[in-house]
This record gives sequence, structure tokens and C-alpha cells, in this order.
Amino acid sequence: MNNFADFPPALILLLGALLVPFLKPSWRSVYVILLPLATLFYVLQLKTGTGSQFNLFTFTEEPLEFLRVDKLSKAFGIIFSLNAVAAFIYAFYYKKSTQHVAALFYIGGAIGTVFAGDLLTMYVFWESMAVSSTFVILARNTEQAKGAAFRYIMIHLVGGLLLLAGVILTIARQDGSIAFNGFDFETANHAGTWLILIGILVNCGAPPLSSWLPDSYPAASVTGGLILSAYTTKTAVYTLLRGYPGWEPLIWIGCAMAVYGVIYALMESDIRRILAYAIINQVGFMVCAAGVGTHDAISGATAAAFCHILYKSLLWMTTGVVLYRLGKSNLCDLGGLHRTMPVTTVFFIIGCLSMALPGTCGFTSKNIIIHAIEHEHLFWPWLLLEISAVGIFLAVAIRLPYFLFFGKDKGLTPQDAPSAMLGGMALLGFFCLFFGFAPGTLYDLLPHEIDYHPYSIAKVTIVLQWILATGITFIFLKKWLTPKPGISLDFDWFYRKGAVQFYRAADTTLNGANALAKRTFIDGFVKWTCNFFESGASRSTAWLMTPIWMLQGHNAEEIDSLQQSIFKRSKRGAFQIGITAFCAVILLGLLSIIFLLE
Amino acid sequence: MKQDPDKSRMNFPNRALKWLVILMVVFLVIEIPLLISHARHAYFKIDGWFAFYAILGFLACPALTFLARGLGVLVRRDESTFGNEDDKTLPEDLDEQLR
Repeated sequence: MNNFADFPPALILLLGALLVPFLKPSWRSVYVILLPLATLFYVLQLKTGTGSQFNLFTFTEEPLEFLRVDKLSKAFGIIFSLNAVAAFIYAFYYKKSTQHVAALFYIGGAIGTVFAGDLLTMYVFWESMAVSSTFVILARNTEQAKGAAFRYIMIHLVGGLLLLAGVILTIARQDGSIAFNGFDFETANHAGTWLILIGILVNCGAPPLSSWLPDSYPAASVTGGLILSAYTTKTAVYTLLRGYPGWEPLIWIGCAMAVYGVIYALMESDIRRILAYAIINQVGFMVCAAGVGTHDAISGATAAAFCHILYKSLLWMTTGVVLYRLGKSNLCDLGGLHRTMPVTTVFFIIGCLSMALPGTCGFTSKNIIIHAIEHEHLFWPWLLLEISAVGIFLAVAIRLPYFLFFGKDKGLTPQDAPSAMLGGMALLGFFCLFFGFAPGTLYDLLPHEIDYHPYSIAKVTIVLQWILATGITFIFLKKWLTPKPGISLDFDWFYRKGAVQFYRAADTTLNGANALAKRTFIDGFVKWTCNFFESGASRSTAWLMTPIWMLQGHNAEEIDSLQQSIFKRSKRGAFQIGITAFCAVILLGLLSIIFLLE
Repeated sequence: MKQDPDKSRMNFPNRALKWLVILMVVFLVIEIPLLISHARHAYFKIDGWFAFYAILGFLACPALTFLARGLGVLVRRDESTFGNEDDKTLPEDLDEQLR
């Protein structure tokens, strides 16, 4: 059955990307904004419940489903496209096609994944994301980016292989069905689904498979980091919400991510690494919600992912302006920038406050998850997420702007953001506030209808209480939160430093054994054997002849000369034929006499 | 003008007391809407306590900060730990004036 009434929205970006290298640089910057804009309009007009299927393989019982439109996939499709529009407006100054093409393939892969209706289609788009995002990192073309990209692709290939193994096993368990719907924790709890889950958790940034995120995103370019920060983790969140609602282990994995992210964010001094750890923290909330699995939790996670993309991208944009103007991203080298970058400072503060403050999108979205957890009376997850929410607000919304834009003036006088960058920031800043003041628009997009009213006295008061307490506490803790130079060892130590040690140990032992074998067998035994067959016969002859020559009256010099003569003849194979033939005839004669006598 | 350290030390209890009074007033003001409206809905016992979320903020921030500091002793290292991968030249995505 070929039914292409609706084509997958990813095609707009994937096919459109092919033209990018052939356009003039000035046209290119406009064209890459138009592509996600067209995708956004196309996604907005897609009707839920529609789809398109295509019979590509004969070995599957069902056709491949390239387009499955429901409220969950549509919500992610909208925010992915909207964020891409803002990101390419922001990247207007960047004219090189390499990064643009890679980014368009990457975003196309993400959109393809969320609209994929079966396991095989999902896997293909998933892997295309891994490959294209590696090129987004590589596009910065620095040694650091090359190293980070290598580590990134290695981790994601491992995750991808686990996912593939899981997909194959799951299809086998589903009697050949490639359907990708919610796996039930009780009935679909087998090796296949667990392998898929591990593959997804790699992309979520769940520890100990998380260190690729703070390693690679800060190594990408100003716009590359911005684009990367939105898609890989959120696509993984989507697949969890789609496939693993109610899987209880995810509650604890999410809590671990939230706490781990906040502690590392408080330790870090690099602004982009702080934001990378904040992503892990915030994704932890969504993973936890997937584990809870109720309608409120799923809708809460969708809303949180939607809004997290908005304010986290805004934060990456503003910190990107600092990096763009100064070439620095370490808080130890920065400070007092609000004087020369007032507009960027304002947008940064909007992004920070959007994490929790009433009137912003973080307040109207993330609290739905907390609300869902409260409803399920999950005390420890609730407490851990509340503590993490306080901690990440301290780390990102207070500590980061204080030491970056205020605090001690380091005498830096950069210009404010270029107008295109301001345009991108303004778009996202607007939506951060819009979904804060008009949450109904956001709630209409969610997969399940929710009975949640964010602007109740209790909810507003509760958030204001802990925000104020956090702000006041910062005054007392400032001394201990002052950034210090250095890096924080993470799980990547095991493959960056640990692997080097392993390599050295393997080098010493295996190459040592190899050298010993060479000395013993190649240099010793084989050499002796060669020598034996090369000169053994001549040496034996010389040894046998020496007493005869002595009896004949030859002196030592003559004997030595005769011995050398035998050695030379032996090497050349040039013994006198007459003597040899004579000896042979004598030998044959003797043998004949013996034979006749017998 | 540099402040006399002895004088500063003498002022410390007064400053702490001042902050304490400010905090008490702030929390009272923030808690008042909940008290008046009876809007608080406690799902667990502790979230029904007076000014619970303020206390949470007050306890969580130092706890996480000192946990991070403690862990930092173990995991914070020099920037050259993994070798210096940085290039001498600035990347192309930065401001042209900078380059």
C-alpha cells in the first residue's frame, strides 16, 4: 500500500539541505531560515490521527510508517521547527555551508524520529541524527571539536547498536510486527525493550552515559552548540514518553540525572558546560515523568520539553553572544558585562527566570511534573526534584548571571549582540513570556487534557518562597560559589584517561610479550636454524677434514685457508664437480660390491 | 576607605540579626496569602509546614553547594588533565574583529 497523501515534514529539511551548498552566501542565510519556517507551517496544518505508510521492505508484515501525527508527535514537531527558525535567524552571520547542511540534516532527523510510526523508521532517523550531529560539532574545525566529535560518535554508535539490537529482538518478540507504541512494563519487559531503553538513555544523557553531553556541546561552534542543545535529548525524551510510560526505573534514573546535573553545574566554571549539565538536570525531570506515566505526567513532560527548548536555547544564544564577542567562555575570565551588553543581559535574565518564575514558561510547564508526582504520592522523587529545582535555579539563574554579567568587572568592553542574533533571542524571549502568561495555548498542544491551573495562590506562593530563599542564600554562599579554574572529571575519565592507561598497559604487556617472542623465536631459534642449514654442512666437513689435513702436514695457516675455502665453496655451492663425481662413483662402487657380496 | 577589620567583626552580629529580621518579615509576608486563603494542599506531611518551601530553599542551597565543593575536591582538576586540545588560532565562528 502506497499512501503518500501527507509526506513526512522531515523531507522539507532533508531535501532542502541538498541545495544549500549551491547558493550564494547571502541567499544561503535566508534560505536556511525559510526551510524550518516552511516545516513549521506544514506541521501546524497536519491533522492529528493522519499518517502516511510506505511498503519498502517485503520482510516486514506491516508497511513503514513515515508519518504518524498525534498530539504528542505534533507538539514536538512544532517546537523543533520553531526552535530551528530562531536558531537560523541567530546564525544569520554564519555563511559557511558545512554547518548549515549538517544542522538541517540533524534537525530533519529529529523531526523524522518524532513523526516515525514504527521501530525501523524511528531507528533510521535516530542514526541519521547521530551522524549529522557529529558533523555539526566538527564544523567548528578546532582540535578540541575534533576530539569531542570522535568521542561523541563513538558513544552514539554504541548507543545506536544497542538500540538496533533491541529493535531486532523486539520485532522478533512482537511476531514480526514493527509497531512502535507504548511498551507495557509488565508484559513487554524483555531484553529487546531494555536494550532499546538503554540506547535511548544514552541520548537522554543519563549517567553514567552522560559525559558526552558536557564534552561535545561546548566544543561545538556558537550556533552549533545552540542547535545541539535542543534536539538529541528531547528526541530521546519523546521516545521515552511514546514507548516507556510507567516504567518505574525511569523515576529513579530521572532523579539521579536531576541531582547529578545540579551538583556538576554548581562545580563548573565554563558557561557552556554549566548549561550542558543544566540540560541533564532538566531532562531528568522529564525522564522521571515518563517513569510516572500518568496522563498528567506525560503532558507535563511534553510541556517541560517544549518550554525547556525555548529557555535553554535562549540561554545558549546569550552565552553564545559572549563567546562570539570575546572568544571566552570561562567565568574566571568574565564579569561585569552588563555595562556593555545590556540587551544580551536582559535576554539572559529572561531565559534564567523562565526556569521557574511565575509569568514565564518554566513556571507553567515544569510544575505539572511536580504536580503529577505529588498526585501519585511519590515522596522521595518529589523531594529530590524539588531540591534539584532549587539547586539548578541557584546554579544557572543566580550564580551564572551574577558572575557573568555582574560581579567583579574584568575590564572587558565587548559590543552587544549583532542585530540578527538579537532577532533570534527576541523570538525565543517572546515565546518564553508568551507561554508563561498564556499557558492555555501551550496546554492545548499537550497529548492529554490536563486539569492544571498554574496561577493559584498556593502555586505562585510556593515558587516565590523558594526563589526568594535561594536568592537570599546566594548572598551568604557567594564565597563558596565563586568559579575556580579547572575542569571537573566526569564519567568520560574512564574512556579518556582510563582508556589511555589501558592502552599503555596493553602496550607494555602485549608488545612486551611480542618483543620476547621476537627475541626468542625470530632472532634466536629461526636464526640458528637458518645458520645451521646455511653453513652446518661446510662446518662439519671442515671439522672432519681438519685432523686429516694435520696428518698431511699442513700448518695452522694452511688449515685455516683450507677451511675458509670450504666455507666459500659451500656458500657459492661451487664444490669441484670432478671430485664430487669421483666421490660419488667410489661410493656407488662400494655400494655395488656390498650388494653383490650379499 | 578601607574598613577596620575589628569594627567589621563587631558589626557582624548586628548584620546577621538585621538579615534574620528581614527574612522573617519576608517569609511572613509570603506565607500570609497561604494562611489567609487556606490554599495550601499538602500531599505529604512536610509540605504542610509553615514556610516549608522557604525552608527547603534555605537548606537545599547550602547542602548542594557544600556537596559540590566536597565532590570538587575529588574531581576538579587542572585544565590540561586531558591534554591541551585547544588551537592557537580562534575558530571561524567568532567575531571578525576579534580575529
